[in-house]
Amino acid sequence: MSEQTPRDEELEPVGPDCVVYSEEGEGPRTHVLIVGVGHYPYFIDGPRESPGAELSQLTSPSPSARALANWFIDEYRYPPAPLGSVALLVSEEIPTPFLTPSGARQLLDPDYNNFSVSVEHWFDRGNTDENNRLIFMFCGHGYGFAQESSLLMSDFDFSRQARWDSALDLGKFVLGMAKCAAAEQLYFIDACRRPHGDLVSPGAVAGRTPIHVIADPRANYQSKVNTPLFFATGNDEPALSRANNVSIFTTAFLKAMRGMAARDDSGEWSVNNYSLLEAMAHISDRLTNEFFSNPQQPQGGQARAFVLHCLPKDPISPVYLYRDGGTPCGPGDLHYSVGGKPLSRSCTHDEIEIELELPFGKYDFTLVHNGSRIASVKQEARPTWKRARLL
Amino acid sequence: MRNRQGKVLVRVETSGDTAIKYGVPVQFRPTLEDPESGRRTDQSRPRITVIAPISVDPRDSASARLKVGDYDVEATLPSGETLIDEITIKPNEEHDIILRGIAKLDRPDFTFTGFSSRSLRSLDFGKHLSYRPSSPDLTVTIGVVAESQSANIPQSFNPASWDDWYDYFLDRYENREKNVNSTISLSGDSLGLSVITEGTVFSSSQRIKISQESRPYIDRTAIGGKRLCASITGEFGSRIISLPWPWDWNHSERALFEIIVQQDKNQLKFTPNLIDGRWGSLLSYMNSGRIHLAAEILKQAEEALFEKMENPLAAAMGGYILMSTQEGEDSDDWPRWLNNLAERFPNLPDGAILRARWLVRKGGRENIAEAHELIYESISRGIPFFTTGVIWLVDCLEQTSIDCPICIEMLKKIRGVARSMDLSQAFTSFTIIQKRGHGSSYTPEGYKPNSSIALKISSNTTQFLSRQEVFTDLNIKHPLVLPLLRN
Repeated sequence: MSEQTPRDEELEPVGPDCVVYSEEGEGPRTHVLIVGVGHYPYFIDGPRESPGAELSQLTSPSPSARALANWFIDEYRYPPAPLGSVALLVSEEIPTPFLTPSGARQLLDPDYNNFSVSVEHWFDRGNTDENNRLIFMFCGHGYGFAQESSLLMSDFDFSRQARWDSALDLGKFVLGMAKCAAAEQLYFIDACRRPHGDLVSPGAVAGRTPIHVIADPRANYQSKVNTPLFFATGNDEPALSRANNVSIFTTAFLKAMRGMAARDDSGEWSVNNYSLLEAMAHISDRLTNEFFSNPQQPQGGQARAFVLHCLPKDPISPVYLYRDGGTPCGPGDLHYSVGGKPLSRSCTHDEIEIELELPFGKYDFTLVHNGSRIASVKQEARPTWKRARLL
Repeated sequence: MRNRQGKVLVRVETSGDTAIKYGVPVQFRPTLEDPESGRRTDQSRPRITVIAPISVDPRDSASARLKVGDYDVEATLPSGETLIDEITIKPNEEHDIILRGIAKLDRPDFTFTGFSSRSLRSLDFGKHLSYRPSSPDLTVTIGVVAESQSANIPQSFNPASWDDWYDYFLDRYENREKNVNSTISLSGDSLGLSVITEGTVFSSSQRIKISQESRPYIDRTAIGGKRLCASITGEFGSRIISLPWPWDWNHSERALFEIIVQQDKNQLKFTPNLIDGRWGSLLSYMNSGRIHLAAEILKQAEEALFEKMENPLAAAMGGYILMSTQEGEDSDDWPRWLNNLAERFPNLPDGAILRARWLVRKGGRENIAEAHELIYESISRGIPFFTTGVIWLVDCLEQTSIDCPICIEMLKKIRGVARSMDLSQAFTSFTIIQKRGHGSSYTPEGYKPNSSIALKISSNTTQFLSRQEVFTDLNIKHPLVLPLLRN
């Protein structure tokens, strides 16, 4: 897809449902709601920074939310409930349209009101069939532990008495959603998980929920609800990201979905909730352990096993190559072939380990320096990852 | 058919002295060489999961018979460390597999549960390879009575009581300007346990061992009645941990609980390890959020855990794992076992919560009503032993108390107390931060806003945001392959 910027008159604003992509069809569907809150006007460095602002702007939620939306539109494959819709709310310093195959969409800001309305529509889309699947993804600021979490929407203002009215009470929200027909509901939360002082007060309100809890939510349904929660990080830990880039959690999710979490137990490559968590843990650790004393580790809550994604093609997974005794792989060039096409990668003198992301298959790796072969190894690339010593 | 099989003996070696029988789920995935596409999972042979013991003794190895052929061998430790291997099973041969965690290779203080592995990266490993004496700035007490050391609100209370904790936190919150440095210690009966605190090779971490001299008579039906807690107080605050005691342990180790405590970056962090030759791994997997791996262990140990109810607290732990990963039909045994747990142990809140959770999940007017009663009952039994019980108690109360004003008040109270709990731990525990301050909108003279002075929230978050920038500038060793961004 070209990277042209559409003119304003070409932009089509999303409706209150915030749907940027929909696919009509019979039978159960997957409906995705993605919320990326990066620009908080009332936070530090925001245009309406309030005196009591305690948090700063985030640069990662917008690219993360967009990358996730694109992935669902382009790659998500789950035959029992194919993609039905993707709704997207993003706040960013300079609002940028979202390009879809059917045109550019002007996105709505995820203040609590817009969020709440979009959730009601998302609920309705999921409510048509018990075999529907709902996926909720949030990337932004958050507080709290476990389900006792508050997710901050863009209009959160620390100076307001009713500030927590602009936060989602995740626990109540998840409980409330149990009354939606869709029995499978997945929640991905990419936010810090530290408690806030306000919430220490016994009786403090942690936020609101657009969907209220009822006593017997599955009274009219055959199926029990399966609601796995995936948190980017452990309790009392921050969620990490590189500035102006997709978050660690998003990166881990996309890498895992594209292959690292794939299993071919049933013949075709698919990702289940457990393999997803393990692959994401591995990726998160590798991306953060050199820079932070506590590497980011995603956490999964209770969930029965289920298939999340069926890969349309062979998985891509990493191969880690190293030499004996901590000998650097460089200087030199690593030669190998992908799909019959010869490739070469230069290695520096301080590279102890080389990481290559390769499609499923067998490879011959040869390390060459000044025209001489230094070491070689045969190794296949296969999920979750493979490690081989160059000899 | 047997001659087309081979025997595999498998065990895991990692740090720590204690052998654990139900240690690590090791999966043998049959593979087949496909000349065109490479090595794929062989559909004709079953995948086998063996619960390998953690042990350095070859005699402890778990065995399984596998059909001949190639296998991928995969295991994940509670720390998240993945151990992989490949093996070719030959007919009538015995194959030894030892999966070694990195800890075993070069990091003596790296525990398989992961706490140390994370924290130690930031420390100067290798420079202090001798054990240090216990640091004097850590105070550890155990007992069944909580004592607040606040100057203005001296009080003793029952650490198992929701009401007492609520009153304590409310008082502390309302008098927050006076109570910024108050802590909690434990006193009263220590139920035969004693505490040893020792240093580790790393200066900022310490090991607390809670052990007993001899094995006492355990009145199982009384479990939950007297709640034994441990308090750890350091420079940055206190942690109060509800100990799963009496724990019916069945091995020769004297240490029952080992708590690694680290004071780092203005935080008091701890990881409790249950020293139990059978169920130690279950707790570690539960603690690290890898419930599905704990469930793998339970699949092969369900009866050992539940059948005789020898260890009600371990059974409750198993109940949490099963409820988290399985639907639980009437035909299954374990929902019945949960009922037994609720009925036979009248002081154990976790049994009532587990049964209520199952009833709520089943739905229906009668089940919801019964669950409501059980939840009410569980609150009177006290704080659950396990953190998941707190979360499920809140969920169940939320769902079953819509028309009950008394329960709505209870829910408010429980949520209020739960906010001072560390819900990342498997055992129920409380965080009492030093210098806890004020509401974020209230900045009294001499204090910074609450979330930076008290809970260190804002400052930490900002710090990490700053780190985000630093992160950008670093030369990333493992390149991030960006997804295709259309926008």
